[in-house]
Amino acid sequence: MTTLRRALQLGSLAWLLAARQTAAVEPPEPVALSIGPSGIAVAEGSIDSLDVDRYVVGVAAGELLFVALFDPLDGALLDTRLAISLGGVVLATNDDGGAGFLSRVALRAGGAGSYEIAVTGFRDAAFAGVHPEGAGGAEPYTLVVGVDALPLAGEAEPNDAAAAPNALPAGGGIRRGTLGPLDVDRFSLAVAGGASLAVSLFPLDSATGAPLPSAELGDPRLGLFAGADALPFAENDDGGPGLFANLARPAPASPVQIAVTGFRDAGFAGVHAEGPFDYALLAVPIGVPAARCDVVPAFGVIDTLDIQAIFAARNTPAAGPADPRDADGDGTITVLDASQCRLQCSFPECASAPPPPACGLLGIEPLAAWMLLAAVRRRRTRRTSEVSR
Amino acid sequence: MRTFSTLALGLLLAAAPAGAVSISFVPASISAAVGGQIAVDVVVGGLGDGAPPSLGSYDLDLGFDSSRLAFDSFDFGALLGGPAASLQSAGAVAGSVDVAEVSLLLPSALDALQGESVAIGTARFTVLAAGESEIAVGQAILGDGLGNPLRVGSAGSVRVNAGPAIPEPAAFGLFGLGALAVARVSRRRRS
Repeated sequence: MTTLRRALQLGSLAWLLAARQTAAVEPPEPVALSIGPSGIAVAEGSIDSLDVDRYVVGVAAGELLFVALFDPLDGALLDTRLAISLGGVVLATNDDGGAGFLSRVALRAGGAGSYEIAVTGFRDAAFAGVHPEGAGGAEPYTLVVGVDALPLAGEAEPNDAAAAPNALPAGGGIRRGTLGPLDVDRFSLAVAGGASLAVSLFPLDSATGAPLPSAELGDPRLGLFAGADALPFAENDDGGPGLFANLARPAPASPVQIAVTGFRDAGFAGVHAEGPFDYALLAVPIGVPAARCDVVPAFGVIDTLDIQAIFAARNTPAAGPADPRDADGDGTITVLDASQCRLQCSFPECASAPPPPACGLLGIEPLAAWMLLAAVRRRRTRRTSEVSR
Repeated sequence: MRTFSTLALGLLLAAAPAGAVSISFVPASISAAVGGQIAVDVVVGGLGDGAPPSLGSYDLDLGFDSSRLAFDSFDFGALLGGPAASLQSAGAVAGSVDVAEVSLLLPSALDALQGESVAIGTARFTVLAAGESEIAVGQAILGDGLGNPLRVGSAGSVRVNAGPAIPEPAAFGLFGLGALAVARVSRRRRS
């Protein structure tokens, strides 16, 4: 009876503890990343409280490893911490190196192996899952990992004019550039209809080509343009490590032109005195949605963020027949598309994550267990008093 | 008999466009002084009254004479779920107010919430100049709880009659003089 009582007590407590944790639908970890021909791998994840996400990627000795986190709101959703380890030894960590409070880090691999990338909340310096990020519900992020050997493929000057950007491969790529005074470096990337792209600038050592731990040697400005448009649809000054830049946006058209200039050059006309300094540009399409209405990362989940994005784009033409915002396929984004997509939400009330699991089948099993224990105790007490009479 | 029945049914169907909703303003006519504010309710009628179709989304352009009226605000109603359960947007550009709302409620909840007509909100304007002007519906996209389009059978308008502003200080002055005169006369009578 004592053993049974202890088993019931432990089981109830464990059940209660498990029920209080928010269930996040995640693959088994560590998640193995596969580096494609572009040299870049993209993974969609989410963080909730007590959660650490772990990934592994194979890197050869001497190769460069770039890691950057993005979210749909330029770092407003999560405050993360990032670590790169090899064989259990932490090689590099970062707190706020990316957009907002997101993290970014890069290093040159000293040895070959499976490098582990851990993503957690900012308070969790030990990467043990002790943090409050995502306590109100799992928050999505996009992890971009680039691996490339030295020397990196370089830019081809002159690429200052909008009419002559350096074309990146269809799946994205990593390029080394040198920005000097009066210089603008332009690249172009094809992005499938309805997809987004992520772009990061990392500082490089001019002599070795390796990533620099500090990013104060130069101050670039990053701009994204729809084709050869004169004005950028997005730009960033200091969204990356130190004074470097970082952007992730849905692409309104394809190709997207990426421009790197000095921070004072708001017109991207080369009017600046920055440099010379070397940088690595990492650009990749992200979130090619598999289904209509799935507009905003994290993809695979249709939630209020997707409905808000469709609502905000109402009365604009769809970006092609595959535009996921055009639910009814009439070629125009309208409130009707937002309304139809609301019915496609993945979770109740268009939440971003499933609701916390109920405590047991009916929610009263632990209470029933305690009541059973109390009844057993009372019965024993009654027997004892009967015997003593 | 069969011919008569068929004819009667045809006439009935021709008279009332099937599935059409209406957009109207309450009041349909309003008078105000220059500098004053007017408020008009925008109402969608012809809904299912506790059954489909209910109103799940809309995007309306309300045109007005920007030389006579200035848009102040649009107060959204609660019959699409209110701010907690819908996405709302209202803004004015050069003589036109765009108001849009998408409900996040399920179709069954909308059916239970709405009657035959829904006041989607109240538009408020300030009268800038005297004269007659009109507030009318331009582009209108309406959808039911499933996101299917609702056909607009009729769209009303508001006639605004704006009169000159009443010079309040002068009016009070006149009133004061009149009160003084009455007081003097009554004193004389007493004495």
